[in-house]
Amino acid sequence: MLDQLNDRLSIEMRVLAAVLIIGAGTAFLFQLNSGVQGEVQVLQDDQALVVDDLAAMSFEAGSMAEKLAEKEAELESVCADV
Amino acid sequence: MLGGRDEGSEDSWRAVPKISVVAPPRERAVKPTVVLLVLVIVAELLFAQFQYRDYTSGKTAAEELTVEADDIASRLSLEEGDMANSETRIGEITAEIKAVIDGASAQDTARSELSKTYDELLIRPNWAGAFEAILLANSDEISIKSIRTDPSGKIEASGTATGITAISGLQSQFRSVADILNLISLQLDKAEGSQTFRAEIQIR
Repeated sequence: MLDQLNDRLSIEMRVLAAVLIIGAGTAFLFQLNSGVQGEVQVLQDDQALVVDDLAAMSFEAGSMAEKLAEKEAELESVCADV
Repeated sequence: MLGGRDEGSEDSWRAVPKISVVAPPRERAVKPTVVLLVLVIVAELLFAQFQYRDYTSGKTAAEELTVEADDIASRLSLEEGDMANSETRIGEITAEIKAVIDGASAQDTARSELSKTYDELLIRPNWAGAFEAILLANSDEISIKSIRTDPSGKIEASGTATGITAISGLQSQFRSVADILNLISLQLDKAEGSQTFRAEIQIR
């Protein structure tokens, strides 16, 4: 049956079939790529937010360390005064 | 009959199918439609290649971003832990400072009260109390009404003595404590049923 079909198919039909098959594969690949690119975009946005949080937290930790040093100096001063 | 020509059938050879010994003109091997479709295939393949390249690079980028996100999350966790420790330490130091300041304040208060009492003792010596204690006055027979002192140790006391015995007892009392109190003068005045006295004493 396939042989019969093969005999009857013209070259145009064969090339058209190839076009359709490759087009379907390309469309599938396009969908796959779109999903991955969207995932990358989401990850980049999340990373930007997290980096901002990290920067803010680092700044806060720095100010807190400075405050801690001031408190320790104040404690030493108070102890020396007493 | 072969080789001969039948007169009667002169036109019969025309009925013989024509056999062409020349090849018929061939159709074009590649039709424009096929060329167009092949071009479409080439374009599809190129597009697919670009898509695949983007897909692989995107997948790699996603994996790298995931690793970086995990790294940043762990650093965030460490920062949060450090901040919690710092907050706890600051709270402890603040409480310690408050305790030290409270302790110092209590010590200052006690020291201030002690100093105040000491200053009062220095400024206002309780000569009257000392005088009464030394003379054992304020008894039933001798009652001291007023005592005036000055910082030099001079005491002026006035009071009432009931009976001559009490007056002589007061004088003997002054003599017994002469090493402490120096009786400078003693003035006696008679009153009704008693005698008032006014003594001037210098503490040695």
